[in-house]
Amino acid sequence: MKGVAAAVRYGVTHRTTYEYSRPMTDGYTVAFVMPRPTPSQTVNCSDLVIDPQPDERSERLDLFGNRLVQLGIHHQHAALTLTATSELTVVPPTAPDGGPAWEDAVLAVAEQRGPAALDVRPFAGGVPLVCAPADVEALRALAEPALAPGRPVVDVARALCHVIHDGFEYDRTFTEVSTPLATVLAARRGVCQDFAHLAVSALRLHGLAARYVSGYLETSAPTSTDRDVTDGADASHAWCSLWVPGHGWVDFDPTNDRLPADRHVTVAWGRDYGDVAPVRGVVIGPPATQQLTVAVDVRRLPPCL
Amino acid sequence: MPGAVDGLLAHLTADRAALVRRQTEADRVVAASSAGHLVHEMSVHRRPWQVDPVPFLLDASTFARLAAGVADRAAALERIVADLYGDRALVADGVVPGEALSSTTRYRIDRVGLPPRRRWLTNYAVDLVQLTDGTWRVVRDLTDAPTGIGYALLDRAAMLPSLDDAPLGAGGRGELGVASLAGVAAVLRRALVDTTIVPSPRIVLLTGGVEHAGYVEDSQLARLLGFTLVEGADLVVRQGRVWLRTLGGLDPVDVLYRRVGDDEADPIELAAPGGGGVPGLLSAVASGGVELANAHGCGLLEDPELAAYWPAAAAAAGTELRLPQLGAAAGSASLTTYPSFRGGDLDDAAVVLRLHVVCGPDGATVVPGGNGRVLAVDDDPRRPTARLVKDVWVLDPTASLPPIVTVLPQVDLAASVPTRAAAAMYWTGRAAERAEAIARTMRVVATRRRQDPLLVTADGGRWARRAAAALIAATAGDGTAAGSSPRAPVLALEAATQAAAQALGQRLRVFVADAASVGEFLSGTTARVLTEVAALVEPFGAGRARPADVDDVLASLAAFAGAWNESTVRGPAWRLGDIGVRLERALVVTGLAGALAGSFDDPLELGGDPAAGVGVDAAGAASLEVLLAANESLVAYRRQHRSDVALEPALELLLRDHDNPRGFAACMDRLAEHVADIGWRDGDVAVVRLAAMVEEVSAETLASPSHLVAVRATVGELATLVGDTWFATPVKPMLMGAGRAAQTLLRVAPWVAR
Repeated sequence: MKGVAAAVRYGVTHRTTYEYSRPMTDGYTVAFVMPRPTPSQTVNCSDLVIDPQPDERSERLDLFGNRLVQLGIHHQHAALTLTATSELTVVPPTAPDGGPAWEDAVLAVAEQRGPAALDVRPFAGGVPLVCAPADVEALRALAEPALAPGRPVVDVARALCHVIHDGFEYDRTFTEVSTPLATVLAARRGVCQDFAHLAVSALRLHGLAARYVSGYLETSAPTSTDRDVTDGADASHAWCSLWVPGHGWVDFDPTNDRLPADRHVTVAWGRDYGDVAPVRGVVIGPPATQQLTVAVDVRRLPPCL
Repeated sequence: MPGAVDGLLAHLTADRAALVRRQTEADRVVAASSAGHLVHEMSVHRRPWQVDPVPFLLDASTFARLAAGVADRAAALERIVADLYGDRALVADGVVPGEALSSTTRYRIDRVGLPPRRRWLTNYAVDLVQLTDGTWRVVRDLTDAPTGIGYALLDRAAMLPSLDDAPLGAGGRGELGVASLAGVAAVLRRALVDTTIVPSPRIVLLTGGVEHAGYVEDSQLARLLGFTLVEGADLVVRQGRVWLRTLGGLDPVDVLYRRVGDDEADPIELAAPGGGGVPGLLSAVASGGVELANAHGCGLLEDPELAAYWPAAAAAAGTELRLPQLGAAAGSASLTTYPSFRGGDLDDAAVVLRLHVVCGPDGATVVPGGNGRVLAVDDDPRRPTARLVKDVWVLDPTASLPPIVTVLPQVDLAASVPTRAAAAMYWTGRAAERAEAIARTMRVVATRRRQDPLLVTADGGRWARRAAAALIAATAGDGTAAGSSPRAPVLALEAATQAAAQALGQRLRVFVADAASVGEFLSGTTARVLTEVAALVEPFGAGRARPADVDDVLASLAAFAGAWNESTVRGPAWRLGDIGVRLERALVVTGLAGALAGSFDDPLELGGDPAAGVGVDAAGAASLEVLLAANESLVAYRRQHRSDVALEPALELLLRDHDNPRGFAACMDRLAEHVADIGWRDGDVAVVRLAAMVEEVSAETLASPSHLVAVRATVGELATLVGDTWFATPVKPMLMGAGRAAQTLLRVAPWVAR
């Protein structure tokens, strides 16, 4: 069936709710919840509804071309809800069979000039920000088994998927958003965000260009009809993308040990989670606690005729 | 002309006695010039820095050469930073690797691609050292929020006596003269005005606050430049602009002269809990609603990992970094040494020279002066540890900055008082008044005990119990408890004395810290008073109260009160401060009156039976003397009443006599005047009601403890109203929790092609 790329249409709802134990008087929020177009993804429409009505709202593209929304709420509010609704068409990407040897890919990074340098080099080499100096050796070692001499670079991505998938346990309860990579490395457990950080950091430390991708995953069988579409059982997902000279960016998903086909929906990409956190911000008000609820629903829509 | 340097140096170091004298003089000027470091002095550092009476000398040709190199360097760095946040040609061409930029948080990716700034670097500074072969090396560049330009001015002020002593011709302005720094503020002001296209821009100086190490310099600079000194909490972002919270509402701000690092600009960008900064500030920058100087992101140029790329980047940008960088391994051994006077000895020490460049509409201006930081023997030149600085003398009067007639903004931000500053004035007033009440009560109780040692034990310790009650009331505590305490009266008095000393220490700390944070609203001599008070605080904190210390505190507070009343501008800031003074005094007088009028189980029995002898209740009379003296009203009482003190006339004097400036009624008069002046209607209603509670009751009601308690509570309500109305509770921003990307594994998916 190779070469026959059947387009899949998705409807995505991503609702983020903050509830505060006492009303806040002021709030500033930055959100990356409106999907960007990609070579294998078309955004047919995307809408973001804010409750309460913000006093200020603006949108721009960030350095990497992601859609960044800025909000200001300057009146009393005990809760904030951002509901992003999008409709997209996803075509399975065409991954090259293997690409050049990974050593050549490393060399190619430094040779990039012009727009390619701006596209590739910010994601290459160096020491990633999520990587503490003490983690460098462990992260380099993590990728070693995948980096057999002369191995095609796409196969390196596949192999690193195996390494992480087989070597780490998926555990929702173990880490949180701020858990350092050292903890993940020591306990060999974490979630997709941690695994994506592991893979991106390990590849960059070896001189390859890799980026962190934030998005969603269709988790139910496309034929299933009995699920409750509002149960929010889905969640945001994270995976990685590796730069392949002569081809471009190839996504890979260490959490699920595979190269994405047509069930991954991309929202934004950056160097790490910090660049593209779905919602971040500051609220001002009396001392209070906050409750965060995230509900994501990814639904396969009938094909457009 | 090295001969000039050597000759002058020989002259300046020849006379040890003169060096000691100049050292003392410089210390005095530093101590008196700014109060900000007092806060630090009370905690960590006894002394923030000391000025070496031997200046760092630069002859005309050396300075000219360095100035040219430094100005070029500023221009080159300006081009580099503009490109890296703009077109990124340096990245596209591979001159500065994108991967290196990506690996430092100092490259603010949020900032990339936004509309270009008029200027990135307004104030650039560079640390230089001279090697033993006479050549100069760059130690590091300061591009984020360079410090030192204010200290350079302060250190020069401290060295003016030495300058007058030097054989330089008339007033140091002769042929061999030293370049003047008088024009620096004007040049800097002009450059800041020029960072924006807004005509008559409103500029504020953003400081990290009084707890911040740079506060001394920041407040000094704000005063020199005539800009309002603000902290992050004073600013708020609305409609893509930055606004200053003032007593009169929100005032727009066009330029922030930022004295804090760019990692303290906006807590949203950094996602650091409890972080300082102004939430949303960078979105205002992005929408062009405000300019930061230096521009946000300039700290990138300080990153040591990137420094190796700058020479090539400068070349690619068509400029040159002529001054070479100091090698990484270089210690202080390879550096030229200069005579330095410390601990009473002349020594030779290496010095790091910091030069400042102000980039404005006329290009780069190199300040003909700077900071010389003396290195300890094993110091890395990048991190000097000795807290000894040298004023930098450029032996070339023609290097003085030309006087500029700056087109000054006509919009008067000085009239707007930041809410935080008004609050600090208010708490300064309250703390000063409370400290005075405690000190005065302590002194009068101690004096009475010394005069009449038997009083403490006489009459079952009645006086001792009341004196303890007075001390507790003076510290704003509940005097009733001590009055009925089962403890032996003498022990209760000892305990109350110790507690009062501690409370005094605590109030004095608050007083110094708050007053130091609003130096720009207070008289110039206040700093000296604060210095004196700060030096007295410590023994009180430990519960010790030597009479001489208490007297010194009272003298200092009297000096403060004098400056407060006679030398402070009668603006809204002072009005709110004085509302603090009057409210606290009303609390003190009602508290003390309540405690002594018998709000405990041993009421005063005055009058008694005249036939039984004079002063039936000697202890009671002595207690009333304490009450009057603690309110500094005993003299007034004696002038009005030739008899022994009695309760009723004493209360009349303390509460209802409008001519007694220490009394309640006079406080109400002043409060009424203040609330009318600031146009506060609710405050006016509250003051009238409060005054009536004392004016319109019978003498019996007035003397009843329960009524005095009610009056005192009403004063407390008014104080709360002041806070709620004028100083809306400052609250720390809370970071919104981050949603985690935590998606599950794919469910059974045999149909997904691998």
